[in-house]
Amino acid sequence: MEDITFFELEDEEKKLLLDTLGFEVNKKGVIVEKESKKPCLCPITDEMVHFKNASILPGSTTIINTSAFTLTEYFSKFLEKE
Amino acid sequence: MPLSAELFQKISSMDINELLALLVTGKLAKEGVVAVRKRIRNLWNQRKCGFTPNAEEAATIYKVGQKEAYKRLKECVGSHWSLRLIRLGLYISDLNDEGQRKLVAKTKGDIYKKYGSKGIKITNMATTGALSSVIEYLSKLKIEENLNRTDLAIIFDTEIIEVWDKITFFVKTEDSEKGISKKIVRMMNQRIRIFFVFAYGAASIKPMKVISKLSNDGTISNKNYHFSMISRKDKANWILYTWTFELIKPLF
Repeated sequence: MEDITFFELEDEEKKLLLDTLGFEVNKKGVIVEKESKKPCLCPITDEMVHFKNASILPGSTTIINTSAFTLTEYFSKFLEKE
Repeated sequence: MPLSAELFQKISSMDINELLALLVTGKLAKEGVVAVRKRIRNLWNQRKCGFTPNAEEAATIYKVGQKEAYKRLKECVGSHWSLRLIRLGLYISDLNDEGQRKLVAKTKGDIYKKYGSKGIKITNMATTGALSSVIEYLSKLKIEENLNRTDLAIIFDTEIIEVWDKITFFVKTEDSEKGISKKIVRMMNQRIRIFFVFAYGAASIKPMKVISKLSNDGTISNKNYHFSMISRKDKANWILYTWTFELIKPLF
């Protein structure tokens, strides 16, 4: 298993990180792709990701709706090695 | 204006948090912003960090993957679909009582939606402490019957997960000694290869007496079973007792 450190960010820092990685937050508080304005879908829940509840995780930049369940799914699906 | 060597050096030595804090100040010139963003993307591609509303929770769930029980199960069954639920169950079992109640209530719906009742059973396997006995059982089969991961994954599916309700008995305080004894004997008569009896706190007194009696009068060994008991205290100081009954493999 790779070593990953987790951090919390202030809203402003989080917006800047999203912006740097090609995303932005629309008026409804949903994270969208900067170029296409398409809402970012959580790969675990298939639902739109709201800024407040978003985790930005490594592995082709995965943005998920955060819960113990989605984090567990993410770790198993994207980070666990055989 | 080109970036000064000094600023470039400074940016190159910063981590993502420091770089984001620098960006927030808004004091950088355009070239500086470009360099900082480039450095953030480079660091991001190294996959060393993640950002989440509750960093402690994320780190704890992530680290469950380093727990001995988790690693041993993975060693037995490989990348089995249930591992993610085992991870969640192990995380839940480490929380305090209030934390567990809140999380279980919140999470059960998610698990059911994706994995159905099977998913709940697997999560329960980790939260009840039965997992260690299941791992022991699979490890033993691996050695004694020289089974590979595929074989063990099939056994884990068919003999444990799919029949979880049939191979588990949660003793309640109101259960009578006679009723407990009858149920355990019935499970042995069914020749189930492995089954579990669980009891929390005060509810453990009766099964303790019953199992001791069944052991002393030879019922358990006559039916070709052996049993072991483990107890674990949860964060609310409740003790959960788990008895594992295993059918002894005949020599011939």
